[in-house]
Amino acid sequence: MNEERLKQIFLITGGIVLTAFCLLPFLWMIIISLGKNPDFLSGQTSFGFTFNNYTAIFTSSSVHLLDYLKNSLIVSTIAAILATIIASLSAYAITRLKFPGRILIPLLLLGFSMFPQISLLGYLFKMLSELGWINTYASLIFPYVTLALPLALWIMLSHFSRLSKELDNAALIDGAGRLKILSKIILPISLPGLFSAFILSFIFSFNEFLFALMFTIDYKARTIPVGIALFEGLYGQIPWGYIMAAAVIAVLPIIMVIALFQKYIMQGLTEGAIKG
Amino acid sequence: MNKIKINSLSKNFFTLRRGKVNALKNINLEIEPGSFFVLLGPSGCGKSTLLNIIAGIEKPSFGEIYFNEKPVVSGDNKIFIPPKERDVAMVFQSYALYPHMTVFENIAFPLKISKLNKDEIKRKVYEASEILELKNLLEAKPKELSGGQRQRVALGRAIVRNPSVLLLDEPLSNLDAMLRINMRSELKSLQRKLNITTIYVTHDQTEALSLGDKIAVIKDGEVQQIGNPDQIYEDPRNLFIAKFLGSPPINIFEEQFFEYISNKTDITKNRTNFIAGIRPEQIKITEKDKGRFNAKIKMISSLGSEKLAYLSAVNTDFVAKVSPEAILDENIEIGISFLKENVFVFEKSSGKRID
Repeated sequence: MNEERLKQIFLITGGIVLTAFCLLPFLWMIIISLGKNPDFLSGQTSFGFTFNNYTAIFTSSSVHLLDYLKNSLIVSTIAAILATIIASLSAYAITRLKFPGRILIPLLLLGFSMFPQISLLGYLFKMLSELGWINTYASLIFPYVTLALPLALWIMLSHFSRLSKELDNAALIDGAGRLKILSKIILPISLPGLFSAFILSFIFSFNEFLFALMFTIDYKARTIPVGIALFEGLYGQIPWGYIMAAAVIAVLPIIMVIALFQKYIMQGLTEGAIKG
Repeated sequence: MNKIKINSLSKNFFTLRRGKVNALKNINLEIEPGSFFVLLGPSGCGKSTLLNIIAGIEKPSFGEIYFNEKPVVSGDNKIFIPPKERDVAMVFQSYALYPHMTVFENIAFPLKISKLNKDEIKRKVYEASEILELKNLLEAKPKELSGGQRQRVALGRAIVRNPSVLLLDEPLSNLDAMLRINMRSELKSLQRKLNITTIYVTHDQTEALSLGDKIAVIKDGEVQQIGNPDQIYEDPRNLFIAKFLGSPPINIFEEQFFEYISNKTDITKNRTNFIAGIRPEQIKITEKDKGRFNAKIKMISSLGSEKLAYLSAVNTDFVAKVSPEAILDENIEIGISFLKENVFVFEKSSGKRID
């Protein structure tokens, strides 16, 4: 057996193991969601293929799954858009404008993002209740924007600092102002960065549990991770089939967002800006 | 068409690694309207910084710049006219084309910013693309273009709004040799046709000599000499300029040659304080013992239209440009002659030319 072949075998085996490691829990989730008896492996019951779990969570009036999904999508989309906009503006300022302390800002943000989320909880709860925001979208959107911002900013920083400053200078001389340069030149060629910042902020907000648990009370603002976790209280025993069916529904938006934007993330749009 | 006057301009900045840097020191220049002015100097000499300050991308620390007697920037921060109000256009070394826009959109960008109406934009873009032979490429994106075509688009974007000053920052250095020579003459004739005051930054002395109506040689942030190409080449003010211009570079002779080179007693007496330079084309080869001194031919290399003879005498290597008909053999002794008025003598310590 020659080296090339051995390399290939290792590569393929490694790939399969890694894929299985990542995807098996999802497979398990789908299987359970489609079975009548979640404990079918114990041998006392049979699997019993059924769609009942899905119909039940969508039709039962006490579950509110669609409300949770709607809340999650609204909160995550708005938070991700805000985080991306703020990150782009600040990343542009930090990479292009001269002001004292501009190197400190991203470092400080990175430092803040290392605080454990739970250390903010008490103070934040007090603040949000004073504002009367508990159980509203705003109670989640604003904390999520803050928490997603460091990551989004660092993504935008790395994209912007790779673009030649001569592009900015050329546009300045062509008569454009800074905002116009950002919107007409820099952002269009940073689409891959914008999309990655948006998607990662979106995923973070979509999955966040702690704040959503603390700051929401019912289906008016509660998001899907919390909703699923609280199924247990609704039914007394753990309804695995329902939980898994709901989880499958919860994963769909994220898969859709990524499928939609992945070609933009892959695209290198800056080719041809300078001599290649 | 603008007359540009630069008055005792300096630029300092601080960096963590190098401390205080004097990028430009007391620059004084006057650029005639409609002329082609070249800023020539080695990389890092501050010439691009000067161009950026003229454009309004950077601000000076001291001094002023005037466009037609009207101040556009002053070092005390009292006056700063932003680039878009200066009516300047600039072509960058990297071309800085907007990669997501077509050639048409690239050229139209400055017009769109100034809110011209659509028909007017179309007419002007077509006019510029006609001049630069870009008509067939208007729908292409920059990445589909060759280096020379990108260069033309960058020029198109610069001339389309008919600026009063055109700034060019090493625009030809990313092109290959043949194209560079072609673009050089195109650039010059374009400038003549449009009659725009042009400032051209380069480190390439051939480009500077062939393009410039006037050249300012810059080193370490200081103007060394200003003059037309012939003055700079034939009458260099110091050793740096003499060495920087000319290809192959000027030959340097140390004290041991001074008895053949100069008959001024104050120079020959203190010969250790001086060095002399003679351009390769001023050195004539004669029969052995018939010149000022003898030298050995180490190597001959032919450049087609001329030959270079690599010579050696008294532990010094030097080069002579000879006509291609000259019959010379390697490893023979020959005589060297030259006219004394073609010898430049420089003070060793300061590099200043004294004869």
